[in-house]
Amino acid sequence: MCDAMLEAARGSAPYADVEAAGLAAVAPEDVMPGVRELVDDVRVEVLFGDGPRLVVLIDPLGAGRPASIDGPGAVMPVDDGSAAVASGDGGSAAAADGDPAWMLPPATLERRSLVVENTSRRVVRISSHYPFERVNPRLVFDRAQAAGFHLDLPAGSSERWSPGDSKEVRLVRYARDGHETEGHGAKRHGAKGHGAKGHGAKGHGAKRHRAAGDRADRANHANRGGRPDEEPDT
Amino acid sequence: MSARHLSPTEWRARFGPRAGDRIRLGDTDLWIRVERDLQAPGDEPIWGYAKNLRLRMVQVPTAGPSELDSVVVGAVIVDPLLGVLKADIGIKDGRIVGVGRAGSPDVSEGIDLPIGPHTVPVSGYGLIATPGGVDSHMHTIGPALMPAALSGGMTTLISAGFDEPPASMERTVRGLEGFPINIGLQANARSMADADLDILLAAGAVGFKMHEDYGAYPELIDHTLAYADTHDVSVSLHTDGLHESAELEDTVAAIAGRTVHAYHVEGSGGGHVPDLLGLVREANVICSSTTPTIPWGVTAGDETVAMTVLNHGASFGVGEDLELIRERLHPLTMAAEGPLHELGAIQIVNSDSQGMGRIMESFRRAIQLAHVMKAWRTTDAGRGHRGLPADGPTDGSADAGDDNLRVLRYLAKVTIEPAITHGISGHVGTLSPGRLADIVLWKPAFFGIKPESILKGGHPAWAPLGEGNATVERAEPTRYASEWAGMAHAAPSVSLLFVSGAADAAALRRKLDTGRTIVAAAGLRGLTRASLALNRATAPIEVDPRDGRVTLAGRSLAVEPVADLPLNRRYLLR
Repeated sequence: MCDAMLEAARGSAPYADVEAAGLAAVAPEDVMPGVRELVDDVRVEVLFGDGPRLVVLIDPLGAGRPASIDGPGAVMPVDDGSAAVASGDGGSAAAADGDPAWMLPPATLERRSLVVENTSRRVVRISSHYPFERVNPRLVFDRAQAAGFHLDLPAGSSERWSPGDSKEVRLVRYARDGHETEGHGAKRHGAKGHGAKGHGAKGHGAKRHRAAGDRADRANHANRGGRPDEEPDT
Repeated sequence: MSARHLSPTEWRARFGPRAGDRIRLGDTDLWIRVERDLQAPGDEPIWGYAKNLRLRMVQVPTAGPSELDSVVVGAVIVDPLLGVLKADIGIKDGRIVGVGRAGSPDVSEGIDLPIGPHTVPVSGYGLIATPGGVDSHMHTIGPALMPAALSGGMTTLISAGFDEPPASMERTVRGLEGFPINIGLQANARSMADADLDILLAAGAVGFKMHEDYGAYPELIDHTLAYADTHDVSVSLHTDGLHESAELEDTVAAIAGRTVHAYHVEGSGGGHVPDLLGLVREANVICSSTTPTIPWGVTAGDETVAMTVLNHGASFGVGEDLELIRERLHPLTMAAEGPLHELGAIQIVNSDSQGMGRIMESFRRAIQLAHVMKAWRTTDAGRGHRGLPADGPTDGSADAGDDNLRVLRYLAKVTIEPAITHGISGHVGTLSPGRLADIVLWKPAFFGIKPESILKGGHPAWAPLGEGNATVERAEPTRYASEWAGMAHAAPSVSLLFVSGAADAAALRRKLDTGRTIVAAAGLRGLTRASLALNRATAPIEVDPRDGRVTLAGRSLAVEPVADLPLNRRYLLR
C-alpha cells in the first residue's frame, strides 16, 4: 500500500489519487480472513510536488464492508438494553432523546436546566466539564444557578452555540465528595488551599476504590519478594 | 431537551469497552469480560481538544503530595492478581501507587489517584494493560536477544546459568546497562565448596542453576540446595538425562522436599529420559516448560534434533552424538505438556532463549496454549480429568461466555508465577500497587503478540515507532525501537538489577558502575506450588519409563499436535 502511494505521488498524481492507489493496492481477498481487523489505518508520508504530505488510509482493507462483529480484537457489547439505541448509531441525533444514562454522571446527582443565549458574533462551544458559571461572558444565562454545575454530557463532548443561538441545556452538579455548596468558581480556583484539602495523600473515597489493590495484597500471599522499602541500596 | 452526543459505538470508540463487554483476544477463541469499571462514570479523564483533562476540570489546580507522575487512563487491566477490570493506573517514582479512579476530587467522587499539573496522561482507552512479562529461563547469549524480548512484551529476565565467571557476569551486566529491562543472573553451581558459591553471590548472582552439561548429580543438588537455604537464593535445575548419576527417583530424593525450579519438564530440553515430567508430582518442585513445544505442534519434533546438536556441544558428524540426542525426543511427554499446564501442574512458561527457545514468544506461546487447551477441554481426551480448574468469570458467577479465569491462569505463567518463584514479586509480575510500573499496552487484536507500547518504570520505553520526520507518530515504516526511557543513558534509571541478599549492593554498584537500582530477591526458600497465584496443582501422573506415555488416574493424558495456531500467520510474514 505504501509503495503504491509513494509511486503514485512520484508520478505526480493528486492527493486523492494517491489515496486511491493505496486503497487499490491490496484487495480484501488478497489477505487472510481476519487481517482486515488488524489494520485500523495505514499512515505514510509521501512526496508530492510541494513536499512531503501525510496520507492516512482508514480501514484500508474494509472495502466498505461492515466490520465483522467477532473478528480479531472484537468488542462484544454487554446486553444492557441499550441495543435499541445502538441501532441508531450514525443516525441523526434528532432520532434519540439524549445520551444513555450510563455515559453520564450518576443519576443521583442534582440536575438543572438553564436557557443559555449566545450573544457573541462567533461560535462558542462549551465542553463537558468546564465550570459552567465561568463560561464565556457572552453566553447569557442565570449564572448563580450554574455555580457548582457543569454540562450533563458524556466526558469530552461539547455543546455548540451559533451566534444568536438560545437553547436550554441540562447541567449536573459536580460529583465531588461532600457536595460542597460552595461554588466551583473563581474563589475556589485560587491556587491556595486547594490541594491540601482535596487531593492530599488521604484521597477521598480511597476506602472504596482501593478495592483493586487490597484484593491483590490479599491474594498475593507470596508478596515476600523484598518490598521496595527493603532495597539494600537505593 | 438534550440531544444525543454519543452513540454506544461512539462512546466505545472514545473510551473503549465498558463493564460487561467482552473482548476477543487477537484471533484466538479466548474472550475476556470486563468485570468492573473503577473509573468515575461520566467523569472519565480524557486528554485532547475539547476534552476534560485540563485545569478547572479533572486536573487538580495545584500539585499535592500525592500527585502522580503519570497515569494510564481507562485501559482494561488484565492482571493475574487484580483480575479483568477497567481502571486508571497511577504511577509515581517509577512504581504503581494505585489502581483505581483518577481525576480531581473537586470534580468527582471517590478519586484516589489525583491528576496534578505535572501528571502526564497515557491514554489506555481501547487498550489492554498487562504486567510486563517475566522470562525465568533465558540465556544471555547476546545483545540481539534484548530488542526481541521487549518486542514480545518481556521486561524482566532471569538467566538460566552459564553466566559465570564473575568477570563474564560483569561484562554481561555492563553490556545490558542500556536496555530497559530488569535482569537477574543465575550462575551455574559447579562445585560443592561453599566458597565457590560465595564468589558467585558476591559477583551479583541472583541464584544458581544446575545443569547436566556441568553435572547435576545428587550430591551436588543436595549441597546447592543446602547452601541456597542458608542464603535465600533460587535454584534452577536441568536434571541428569543420561542417568549417569541419578534417575528421577534419585533426583527427587536429593531435592528432599526443598524448593527448586525445574526447567523444561516436558523433557525435550533435556533431563531424565523419558520421565522427567514425573516432577509434576512434587509440590516443592516448581515446574516450567519452554517455548518450542508450547503448544505442541506437528513440526515440533522436526526441529529438535538440529536444535539440540547446535546447543549442546554435539556434532552432526558424530553418530554417537546424534543417537544420544534422538533418544531425548519424546512425543508422548510433549503431548502431555499442554494438559499439565491446563491442570496448573506445570506453573511457568519461559523461553530458553537461544539455548533451545525463542525469547520473543513466551507471552504469545502462553496465550496460544490457553487457546489450544480450551478446545482440548471439549474433546473426549480432555473431558473429566480430576483437578481440571474451573473456567469462566473470576467471580464464579454463571457462565457469562468469557474465559477470564483461563486467560489469567495462563498470563500468570509468564508474569506472577515466575516472579514469585524467583523472589521478585514485590517488584514485578503484577500491576498491584507497589510494583514497578512495567506495563505492556496491547491493542486487543494484537494481544500476546505485538505490544502497542511498553512502559518501563512508568515511562514509554519501547514501541513500534515510525519515520522521524513525519508529522505524526507511527508513520510507516514502523519498527520496534526505543522510546526515551529505552535509550542507553535513561534505561538504567527505569531498570533493576536483581541480586541476592548476600551481595554487598554498594560494592557491586561501584564495581559494575551501574545506574540501575540494585534489589535483592528474597523469600525464596520454602516456596511450594501453594505459594503461587493461580497454578498451584500437583498431578499424580504415571510416566511409562519405556516410551514416556503419560497417564493420570489410569487415563491417557494427551493432546493432539496442532497444525494451525492463532497469533501466527495473520500477524507475521516470514
